Amino acid sequence: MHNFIFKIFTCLCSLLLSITGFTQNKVIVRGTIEDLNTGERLIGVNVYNEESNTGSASNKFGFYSIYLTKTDSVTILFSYVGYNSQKLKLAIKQDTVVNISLLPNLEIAEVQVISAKKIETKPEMSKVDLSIKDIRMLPTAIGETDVLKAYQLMPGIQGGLEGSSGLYVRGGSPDQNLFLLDDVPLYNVSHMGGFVSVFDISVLKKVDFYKGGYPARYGGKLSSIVDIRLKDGNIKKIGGEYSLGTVLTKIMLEGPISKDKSSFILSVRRCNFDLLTFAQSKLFPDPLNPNDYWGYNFYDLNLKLNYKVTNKDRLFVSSYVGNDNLKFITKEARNSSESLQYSVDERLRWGNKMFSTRWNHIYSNALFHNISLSYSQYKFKTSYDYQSEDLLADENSEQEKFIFLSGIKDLNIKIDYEFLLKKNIIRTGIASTFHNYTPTYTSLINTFSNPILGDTIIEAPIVNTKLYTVESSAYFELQSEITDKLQTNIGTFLSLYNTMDKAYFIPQPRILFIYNFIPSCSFKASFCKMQQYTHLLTNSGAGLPTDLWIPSTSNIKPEISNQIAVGLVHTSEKNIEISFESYYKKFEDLIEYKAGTILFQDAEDFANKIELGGTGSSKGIELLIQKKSGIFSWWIAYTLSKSERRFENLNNGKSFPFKYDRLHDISLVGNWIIKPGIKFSATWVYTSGYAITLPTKKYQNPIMGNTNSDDPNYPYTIIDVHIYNGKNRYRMPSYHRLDIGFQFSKHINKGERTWSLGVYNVYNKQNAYFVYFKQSSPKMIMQEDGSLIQVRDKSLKLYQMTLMPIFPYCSYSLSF
Amino acid sequence: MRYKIKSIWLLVIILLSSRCTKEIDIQLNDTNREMAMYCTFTEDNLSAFFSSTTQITNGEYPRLWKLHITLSEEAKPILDTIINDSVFKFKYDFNRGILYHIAVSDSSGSVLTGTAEIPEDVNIFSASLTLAYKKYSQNEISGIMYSEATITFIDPANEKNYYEIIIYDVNDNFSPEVYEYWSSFSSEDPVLKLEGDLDYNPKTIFFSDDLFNGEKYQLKVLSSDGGNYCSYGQCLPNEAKIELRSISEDYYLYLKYLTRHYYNQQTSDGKPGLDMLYTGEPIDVYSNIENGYGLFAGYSTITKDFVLVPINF
Repeated sequence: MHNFIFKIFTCLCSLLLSITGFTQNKVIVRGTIEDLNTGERLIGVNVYNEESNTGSASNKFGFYSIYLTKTDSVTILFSYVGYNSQKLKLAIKQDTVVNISLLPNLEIAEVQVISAKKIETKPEMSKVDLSIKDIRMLPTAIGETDVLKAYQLMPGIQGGLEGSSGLYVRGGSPDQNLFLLDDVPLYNVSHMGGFVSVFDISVLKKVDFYKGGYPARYGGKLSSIVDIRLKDGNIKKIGGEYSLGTVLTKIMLEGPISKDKSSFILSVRRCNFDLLTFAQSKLFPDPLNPNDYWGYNFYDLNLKLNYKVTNKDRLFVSSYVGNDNLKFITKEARNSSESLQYSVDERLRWGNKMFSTRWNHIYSNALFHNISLSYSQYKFKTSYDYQSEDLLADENSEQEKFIFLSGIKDLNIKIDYEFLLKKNIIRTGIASTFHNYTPTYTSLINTFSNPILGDTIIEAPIVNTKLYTVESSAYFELQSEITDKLQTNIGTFLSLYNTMDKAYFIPQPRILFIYNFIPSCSFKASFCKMQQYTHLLTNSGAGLPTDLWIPSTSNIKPEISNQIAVGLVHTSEKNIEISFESYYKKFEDLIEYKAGTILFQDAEDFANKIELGGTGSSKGIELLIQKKSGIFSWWIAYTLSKSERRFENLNNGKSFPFKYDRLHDISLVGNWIIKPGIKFSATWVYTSGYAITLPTKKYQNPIMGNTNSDDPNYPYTIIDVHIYNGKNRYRMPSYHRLDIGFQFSKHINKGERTWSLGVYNVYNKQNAYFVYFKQSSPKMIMQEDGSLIQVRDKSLKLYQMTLMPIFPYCSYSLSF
Repeated sequence: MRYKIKSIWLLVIILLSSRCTKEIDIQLNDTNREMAMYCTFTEDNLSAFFSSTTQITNGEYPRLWKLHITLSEEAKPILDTIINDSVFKFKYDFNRGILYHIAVSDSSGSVLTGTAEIPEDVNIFSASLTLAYKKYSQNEISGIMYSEATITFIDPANEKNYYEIIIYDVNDNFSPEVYEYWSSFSSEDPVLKLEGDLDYNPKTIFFSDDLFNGEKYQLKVLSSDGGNYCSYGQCLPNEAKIELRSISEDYYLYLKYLTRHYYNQQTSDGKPGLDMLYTGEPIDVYSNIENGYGLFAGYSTITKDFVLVPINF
C-alpha cells in the first residue's frame, strides 16, 4: 500500500515539475512586506493583480512573489487586515524586486479590507482564518482576549468542558493538537484549567490553524496544527502595552536595540487571583485557622530578540516561560488538645519552558532557509510538606516531604527550505527531536525526631521512570498552480522514530486539490495521513492538569489518522464568504485508560493501566458563512458531527461515543464598530451535550468488613452496585451562552487607551459542568399535634453543577 | 436614572448569587427488573445474599420473597428450598473437583443460574504478623498501630491459581462474620504492584500466580489498620487471623472489578461535601451469573491464628 502511494506521488511530482518551465513570457515581482511603523515583517498579506484577477500572499518570512505577464502597466494591490491598502502601478519587463511598507490604520476603514485573495483561490483547505485584530474584539470571561477561545467559535473546533483545558478538533482529543510557538512545540497550552491559553495575544503576529488539509511541512499530531508566530519587535521605536483586568495584569514592551538593525519584544502576564485570596485571608481570617491560606496564580513571560545581520540574514532568539501555581498553606496551626503545632505546605505547579534560536537566510529572491535549534519542556509537579512540633516536648518533631513529578523535555533541530518558482512553491526540510520523558518521579521522606529514640528517617524508594526516544523527520511539499483553475499542494512527511528497543518508519502522504470551476466558487479535496508518537494520559474526572505524557514504545504503537475532506467555497458579490466542508477521519492505535483505572497512585505502572489498539472514526459537515469586512463583520459557524471510539476490552468491545462527541455545534459572532473608538461584540454559542456514562439500575452486594446494619441477619457491609449499560451512553444537557463586550478606545498623548467592558453568559444560563446523584435534603413536616418531624426521602436525584454563571468583566489597557 | 442603575446592579447581584446547582432530568430509568446473587461456598458451608435490581434513583430495594433455590452436585440435587429473605446459609460437605450448579427463581419467574467448583487448596508454609505502635507524639497518650503481615506458600505448578488474603482481628464481642477486617494496605511486593489493586482501598488482597507459577512465594503487606487504636497508653494483646483462600478465576475477577467499581462510583448517599460524579472511569462489575448479576464461586481456605503484642516506639 505504501509502495503504491509512493509511486503515485512520484508520478504527480514529475508531472507538476515539468509544468513549471513552459511560461517564458512571465515575470516575477518579489519582495518583502513590512509594517511602516514597526518594521515588523507581515505574514499573509494579500498581493493581488487587478488585471488578471490573480494573487498570492506573503510567506512566514514576510516575503511575497507574484507571477505576471510582461506588460507596460500593471496594478498590484497589497492589503492586510488593520492596514491601509496600497496600490502599486508598475511597468513590468523583467523580474523585479519591490519591497513594501504598509501603514497601520486605526480608523473605521481598518476593517474595509479588500479581500484580494479570495477564499476560493487560496491554496489551502480546512484552514481557519482569524486575524489577531478580530480576535481582540471578542468578549471574554475574564477580560483577557484569548486566541484559542476565539478559534473555538469556528466550525469543527470545540472546547471541552467549561473550565477544562484542550481543543477538540474534528473528533480528536486535546493531545492530538500540535501547538507550535515560533516552530517549537508546546505541550500544555492552558492556564486556569482552560479559561486562558498560554498565548499572550499582545505578542502574537499570526496564527495558522489547520484542522485538515495539512501541508506536508507539518507532522507529529493527528488532529490539528496551530502554527503561532510571535512578533519580531518594533525595530524603529519603543512601544508597548499595559493592561489591568479583574484577574490579569500584563505589560508588553517592544523596541529597537539598535534602530533598524535589531529589536526586542518582552511581555509579562500575571494572574492576580492569589493576591485577592491573600487579602481575603488577612482581612477575613478563618477564626479556627487564622493562618490558613490558599492561592492560585499563573504567569507568562515571552521574550524575543531579532537581529538583522544583513539584508538577507536574520537571527531570532525566542523564549517562553509559563507556570501555573496552586498552593494550600497552613501555618502554625494547633491540634484540638493544643499539644501539637503543625504547618502544611501543599503545592501544584505545572508549566512550559521554551527556548529557540533561528536563522533566516535568503539565498536569492527565490530561495529561503530557516534553521532552528530549540529546547522545550513541560513539567507537572505536586509537593506536600508537613512539619509538626510537640509543644510539650521541644525535641519531638515530625517532618514529611512528598514530591510527585512528571514531565517531558525536547531538544530539537530543524532545517527548512522554501523555493519560490514561477508557478510553484517547493518546501522541504529535515528535523530531529530528542525526547526525554519522565512519566513519573516520586519521593517520600519522613523524619521523626524523638528525645528517646533519636532521629528516625524513613525514606520510600524513589520512583524515577525515564524514557528516551529520538524522532526524525523529512518532508517535501510542492504547491502548484497547474492551470488557472487548478491548484494542488502535494507532499509527504516521512518520520522515523526510535525508542530504546524499537523503530517505526511512517510515510505520511498529503494531497490537496483546488478546482476553481467558476470564478467565485471552488471545489476542494484533501487526503492526509498523520501520525503521533506522544500520548497523553489524563484524568477525565476533576479536570486538574494531571497530565502524563508518555512515548510510543515497543508495546505502545504510534497513533495514526487518515482524513479525507471535500468542500465547496464561494465568495458572494457582497464579499460574504461561504465555506462548506465534509470530512471523514479514521483513527488507529489509540490508547485509553483501562476501565476503572485511576491515574495518580502508582503511576509508574502506566503501561499496565492502558488499553491499546483502539480505533475510532469521526465524520461531519461544517458550514461557515462569514463577512470579514465593513463596519459590521460577522460569522455563522455550524458543525454536525459524530465521533466514536472502539477498544476490545472496553464497553464489551462495542463502539462508544467519544466523550466530546457533539452532534450540533453552532456559533454566531458579530463585531460592530459603532463609531470610531467604540466597538461592540457579541457571541452566542450552542452545543449538544457531551457524552457521559451514567448508571441506570443498581443492586445490593455484601462485602467484607464491619456490618452497616443493625440486623444480625446482615453481618456484612452492604453496598450498592451500579449497572451502567454502556459507556458514554447518555448526554449532558445542551450548552448555550451569550457573551457581549464593548471596547472604548481613545487616543491620548502618548498612545491609545482602551476600556473593555462586558458580560460573560449574559442571560445566566446554568450550563452543566458535571452531574451527580444526591439524596434530596430532609424536609420538616408538621404533624397534627403541631410538632415538626424530619422526613428524608431516600430516593436519589440527579443534579448538575454550574461553573460559570453570569460574570461581568472589565479591563483597562494602554498602548503606546 | 440612579434608581435604574441601582435596579440593574441588584439584578446582577441576584443572578450572581443564584444557586449553581440544580436538579436536572435525564431519562435514566430502566424498569426491567432482574435479580442478583452473591453466593460463595467452601468445604463445609454455603453463604448467599440475594438482591433485586431497582432503578438507580430509587431509595428502597424491593423485598424478595418466595425465592426458590435449587442446588445440585454434578446434576444430583442436594437442595431444594424456598426462602423469604435475602440471606441464606447452608451446611454441606462440598467436595473439590466437583461442579455445583445453583438455580434461583423468584415470583416473577426469572431464573438465575450459576456453576462453580472449589479450587484445589494450598497450604501456608509459614506466616507472621507483627505490630508496631507509634504514639501521635511523645506526650500524646493515643497512637496508631502499623502492622506487617508476611505469608509464605507454595503455588501448585502447571495451573493457573488465584488467591485472596484476609486479615482480621478477633473480637469476642462480635460474631465471626463481623470481625474487624484490616484494610488500608500498602506493599512493595511486585505481584501486588502488578495487580494494581491497592490503589482502590480493597478490603482484602487478591492476586494471581502470574509471576510465581509453581514456586514458593513470600508476600509482605503493610496495613495501618492493624487492630484497634491503643489509647491511654495501653495496648492490649490482640488476637488476629490470617486467612489464605485459593479462589477461582471468576471469584478473582469479581473481586477485582467490584473493588474498582466501588472506589470509582459516585458515593453520595446524602453525605456532605462536593459530590464529584466519579473518582475514575466507571466500570461494570464482573458477573458469572446467567440471567442476572453477581457471583457463584467456591474457595478453599486455611487460617493461621496470632496473638499480637504491639512494640512501642
